[in-house]
Amino acid sequence: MTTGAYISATAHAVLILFLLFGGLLEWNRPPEVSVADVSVVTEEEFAALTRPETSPEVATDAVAPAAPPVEEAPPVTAPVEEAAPEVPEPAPQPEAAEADAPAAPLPEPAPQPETEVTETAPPVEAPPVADDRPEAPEEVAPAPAPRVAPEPAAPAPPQAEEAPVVVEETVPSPEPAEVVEEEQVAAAPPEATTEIVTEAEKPKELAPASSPRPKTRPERKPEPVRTAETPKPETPKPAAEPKPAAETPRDAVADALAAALAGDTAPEAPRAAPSGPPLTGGEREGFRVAVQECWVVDVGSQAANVTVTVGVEMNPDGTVAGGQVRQISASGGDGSAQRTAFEAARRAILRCQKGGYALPVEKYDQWRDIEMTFNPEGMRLK
Amino acid sequence: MSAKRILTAIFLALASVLPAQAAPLRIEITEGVIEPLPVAVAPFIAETPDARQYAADIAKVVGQNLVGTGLFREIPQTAFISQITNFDAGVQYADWKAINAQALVTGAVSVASDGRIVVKFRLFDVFSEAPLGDGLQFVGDAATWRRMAHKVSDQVYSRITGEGGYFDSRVVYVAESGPKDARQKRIAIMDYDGANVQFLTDAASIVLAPRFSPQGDRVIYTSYETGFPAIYELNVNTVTRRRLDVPIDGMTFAPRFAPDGQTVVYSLAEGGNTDIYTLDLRTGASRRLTSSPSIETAPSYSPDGSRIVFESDRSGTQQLYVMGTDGSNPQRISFGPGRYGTPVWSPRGDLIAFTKQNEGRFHIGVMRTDGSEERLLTASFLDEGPTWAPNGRVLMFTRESAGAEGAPALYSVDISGRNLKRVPLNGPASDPAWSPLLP
Repeated sequence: MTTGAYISATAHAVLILFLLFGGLLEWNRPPEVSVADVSVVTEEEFAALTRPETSPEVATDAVAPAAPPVEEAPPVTAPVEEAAPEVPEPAPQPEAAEADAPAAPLPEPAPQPETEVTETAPPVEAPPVADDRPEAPEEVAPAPAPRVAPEPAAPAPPQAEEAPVVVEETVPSPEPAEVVEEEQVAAAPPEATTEIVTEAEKPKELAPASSPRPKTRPERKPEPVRTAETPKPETPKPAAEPKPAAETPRDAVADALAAALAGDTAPEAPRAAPSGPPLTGGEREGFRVAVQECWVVDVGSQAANVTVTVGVEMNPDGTVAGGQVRQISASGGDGSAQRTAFEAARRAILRCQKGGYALPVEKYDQWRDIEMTFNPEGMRLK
Repeated sequence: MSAKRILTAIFLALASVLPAQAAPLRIEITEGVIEPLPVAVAPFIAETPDARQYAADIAKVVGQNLVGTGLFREIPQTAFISQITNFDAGVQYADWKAINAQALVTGAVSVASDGRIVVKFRLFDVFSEAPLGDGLQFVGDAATWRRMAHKVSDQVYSRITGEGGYFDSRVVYVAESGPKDARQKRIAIMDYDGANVQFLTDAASIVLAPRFSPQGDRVIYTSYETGFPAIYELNVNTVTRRRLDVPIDGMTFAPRFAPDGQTVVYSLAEGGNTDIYTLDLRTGASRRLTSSPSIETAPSYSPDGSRIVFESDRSGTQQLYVMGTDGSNPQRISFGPGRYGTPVWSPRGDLIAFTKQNEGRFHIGVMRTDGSEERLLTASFLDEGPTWAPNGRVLMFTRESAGAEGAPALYSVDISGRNLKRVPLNGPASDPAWSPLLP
């Protein structure tokens, strides 16, 4: 009896001791030393590696002088047209307001002076915060956001302002080096989600267990960067020198280059374009994305039931010839909805062309005529 | 969709291989963005010195109306590069493109010799460099300057969206005051945006569920004036009212006009059973449409006047049904979990809005008229009683907060579920009904 009790007590004590301290053998193992290869680099190489990516200096040259002080339009003398056009009688207003025909027909808009007001890029570079975000779990539901776009964008972190969509006149800075630090306000692209989230679909909990983040950094359509911000004090190159294309992975640079090149080559536009190879998938996709970023769809409207096909003729510099967009066909919806859908498509093409779409000029023959079908079927409310 | 893309890709590949150089490059765009359209509302020009205040006020209301839809974003005037100084001068499109304005509204206001004000406006599609429709002018009494601003806004809205506007409209509702257990209720009327509130009844008796006539000149509502609920018709312009000639031995409630304006559909509770009736206002004749032992109420006509949607618990739970205007062929259309009530047919005719109660929460939702494609737009402690904007694009409803301090308020939401916001009013308010667009 006592022997059994001793054996049992001893065995239990050993077991308890093992459970308590047995693991220490594991813990006491010395930590592995991580070994990394190192190599010696020269100061120049190091500088080259760590040089901050700068925006294309060429943009400065191309853009800065082009923003003239607000130009006075040639005085418009309203040409008295032959006869006032019959204006459709608007809704009668018995007691409150009466609608009449306009006092005068709208005079022809003044011929636009050749202003080079560049479309400055509203959404400036996202702050690094956006880059370092961990991958979001696959099934994270999109959070409600004011903008719904194919590519999600996280809300701006508190310290960053959302990029102002309205950009003031670009003023060439006499001392670029001085402006830089002040002007470079961290700004994020407008917050966007991939689908409409109604109040009914929001989770009940006000505090989510995990913060939903976009899976990857959104691919934004790169746009020319504000010139006042581009020059950096440590940038060794003179402002006017364009970077070789190989060094500029970002499309912003390519855009700016294309814009600059286009500016140079515009006068000799009617060139004999070779009937070269077709556009690559990437070139085609880049163009498609550029247009869709400006295609604003009102999903609650009747126009969201309309698929419209439009045709444009392009200039070699990637702009729409004469700003003319013609409707080829439309299906779904009534006449008014089709007109609205066409106007939205036209706005998308004309608004996003800016200095010209980034299409390879050597393949101009391939994209001189473009037909674009705007199909909102996938966006419609369901 | 992916199959379509593949087909498109194959087609494009084939097209590019073909020697015919005339073949255009074909691109299909299927994903756009949903975001407010940037609009510039230039300061309206005061063409006479005494019009300055009107010009400023009208331009402000136009901007507020457009932004309030959630479909537009107003570009601040401080960003403008060029100013509009002459209503008839040409527009420097490049200046407006530079600030990314997609539409530009210009206007001018003058005070005529008879004291009436004249409001002119033009709308421009900036990137197409062309006017969007003709310029228009409105003439009206100075006191109605807000309505003129709404009319301008309606024109701008409909020219850009291709749909009718809803700014020049009014809403009747029940204005509440006093503690929760002894609320006083009055019928009130306001502009769609909460301005110009006027009371149509006093607080002597409880009033419920005001509804506009299709012409917007009359309102019918339920009042407990005699101690029992009964239906009254009120002329909005003269503020005179009369009791409708319906059976007085039961409780009548939930009245609503038919699209012809001469028929009223309502519920009558008698001996524990509630059914739906119609009343011909010209002849005074009532007609019974349903006769089941369950509760049938909250009827609403389709805009073409051919069908009626209503709620019924004949299946055991409260659900939505659609029947002919003679009560024939009732079909259940709601099948989701929870209870459905207060259905309202959209003025467009394509959707039915409803209140849904499920898992302790209330929702405002919409579905197709056959019950398909149900979408819930809101969720809260208590949402109920949706009413449609005249263009069928926006819903207004009552939202009540929880607790002893809870009070009802009016909210509106776009049918996409976006742009949920409270209608700014001073006191508690419930049971809104939207008028048609004013003439």
